[in-house]
Amino acid sequence: MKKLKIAIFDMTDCEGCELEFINLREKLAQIAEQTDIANWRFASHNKNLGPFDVTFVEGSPITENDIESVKQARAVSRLIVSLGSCAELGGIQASLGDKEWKKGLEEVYGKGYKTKSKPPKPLSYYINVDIHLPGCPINQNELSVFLTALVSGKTPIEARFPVCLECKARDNNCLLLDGEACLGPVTKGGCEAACPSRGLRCWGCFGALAGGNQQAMKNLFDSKYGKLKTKELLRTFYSQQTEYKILYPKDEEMK
Amino acid sequence: MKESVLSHYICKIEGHGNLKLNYKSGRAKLEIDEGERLFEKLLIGRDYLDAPFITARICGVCPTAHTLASIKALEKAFKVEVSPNIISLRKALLAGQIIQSHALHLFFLAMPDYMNVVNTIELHQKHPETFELALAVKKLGDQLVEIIGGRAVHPTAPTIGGFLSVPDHKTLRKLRDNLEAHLSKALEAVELFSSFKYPKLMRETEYLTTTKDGASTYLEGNKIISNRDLNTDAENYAYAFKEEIRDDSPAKFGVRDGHGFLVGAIARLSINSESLHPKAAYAYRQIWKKKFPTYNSFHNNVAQAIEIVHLVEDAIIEIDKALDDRNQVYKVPYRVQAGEAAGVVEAPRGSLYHGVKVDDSGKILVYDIVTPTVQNLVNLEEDATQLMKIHKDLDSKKLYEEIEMLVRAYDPCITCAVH
Repeated sequence: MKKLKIAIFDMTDCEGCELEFINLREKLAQIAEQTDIANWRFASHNKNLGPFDVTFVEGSPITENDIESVKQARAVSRLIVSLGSCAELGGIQASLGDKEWKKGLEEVYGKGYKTKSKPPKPLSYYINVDIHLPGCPINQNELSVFLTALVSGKTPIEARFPVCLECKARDNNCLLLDGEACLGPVTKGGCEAACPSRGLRCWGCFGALAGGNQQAMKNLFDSKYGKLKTKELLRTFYSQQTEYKILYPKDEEMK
Repeated sequence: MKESVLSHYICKIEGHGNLKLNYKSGRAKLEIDEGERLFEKLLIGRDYLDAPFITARICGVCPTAHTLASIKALEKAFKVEVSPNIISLRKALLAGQIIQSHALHLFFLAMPDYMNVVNTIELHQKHPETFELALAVKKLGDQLVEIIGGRAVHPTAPTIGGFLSVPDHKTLRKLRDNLEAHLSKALEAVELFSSFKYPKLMRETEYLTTTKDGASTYLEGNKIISNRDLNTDAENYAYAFKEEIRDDSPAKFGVRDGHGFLVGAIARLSINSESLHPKAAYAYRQIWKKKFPTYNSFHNNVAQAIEIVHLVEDAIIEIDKALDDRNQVYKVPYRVQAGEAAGVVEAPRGSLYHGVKVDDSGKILVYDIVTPTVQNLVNLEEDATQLMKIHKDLDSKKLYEEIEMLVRAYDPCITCAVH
């Protein structure tokens, strides 16, 4: 079988998701032997321009070059995989919304500052994305299984369930019942309940679960924490998702 | 033909930057091309508990350092005194963070320059023993952060007042025994990085680090000192140097008295080499043998390797302290109150400052973040310009490559610099 030609590109983000490739340690060496990692700026001098069988894109396209890069990457890739919350959801930086983000530029950099950037958006705002590997950061085991499937010639599919399922499987205390603003019931799982297992409420980093009852969650939080705080909780990672736009249809930032 | 954006940036550094060498003026410039995420804006109005979680997302390579700096600032604002066992576990956690980051930089970003490979994964077949060493050292840091912090990237367990959860004693004991068993790997790393031939460079500059009333520390800094005459409270960081906005660059530039200065492993070692733990002191004196400061920024690589040894020793000491402490409370109660404070930690790349102002309900009013890379950028350009001067006769491709190596030796984190 011909080796899969892989590229890993990073846009604007923290680079923690592609770091999870290196954190795979021995497994990364195995994968590298079975594939051809042809372009990976973060860890390699290879600068192959494609075409690629599988291209991982991390980060949200913000700068002019980010936006140009993702378009070029799409043009030379068979499969595009979004890597992490910034690529799939726009990341925490998208939670500001366009108007506040533009205002923030002036507040942080001063009046005369000229940016080369556009407000943070998910990758799918600019190009078609074939598969998502969600999370902030992505889950290491999920990445490992994903790569194994790829090198065995399979195209992984996304099957999702709420974080609560993984939390229950670990016999964790329910943080929501303990009074925490935990988004586990309406958030995509796959994280192995990383946060609740260590006592931290779910922030929703894998994104809103399709078919989850986010409206009920909003109603509960509205009554417990007030409307403003609830919106803040929900928008941290969900801000660009349809599920969020249904909850806040009048939000002018959601264009 | 216009160069493709897919091969546009300096490789093997964190974030997006490009070198601009002006042969006419003899000046080098690092052009930063990273999108503005505006963390300092998006924290405003949010609850104080959000800050340690959100600021971790500034950087995937040093998230734990951001979380701890944020926690330190908020605890100071609320006047929280945490117990010694909490401090010990935090010290071990921060040690793990720095080991992780240094190991990533040394073995995966810097090493290919000196071993003639396009990436470190190639060494798996070409030099399997070196590849195994890379993984072993990386694992020392990863394990510390995974077990104490919750996971390798973006910690889950640390919080204001202590920890949301801590590993049981059996797990901690196993962790410290494992560190002890593999300390020799860290020494091997110093041997490897001392054996490389580094380009010649010598340019005196000012080194800054934070200390606890003059003593070496990573977590508990309260003073900023330098190898020259600086000695001020960490709270005064905004006066020790200025953050300048230049040429519409999304990264700001740290300037002190009109010049660059340097923070990070090479600065810490140049100031604190007398405070190294025994094995690290051995590595410094008997393996590396040169004396810091050497004023050659390429030697930052060796300084990081020596720090790994020191921090493995440090983590063992701190875990032992936490295990011996009879007070096993891992979260102290506190009262939210209005306040203003700065928190500093020594992050892998140098002093990291978080400044915060909160109201009496814990709502964030102001949040300021000053990262090590911002402090190092001017010095980096000054060093690169010096290299251009030394190598007037070198052909432009070679010179460019050498300056790229210099950039990598600095271990810049552009994602941190633009936050």
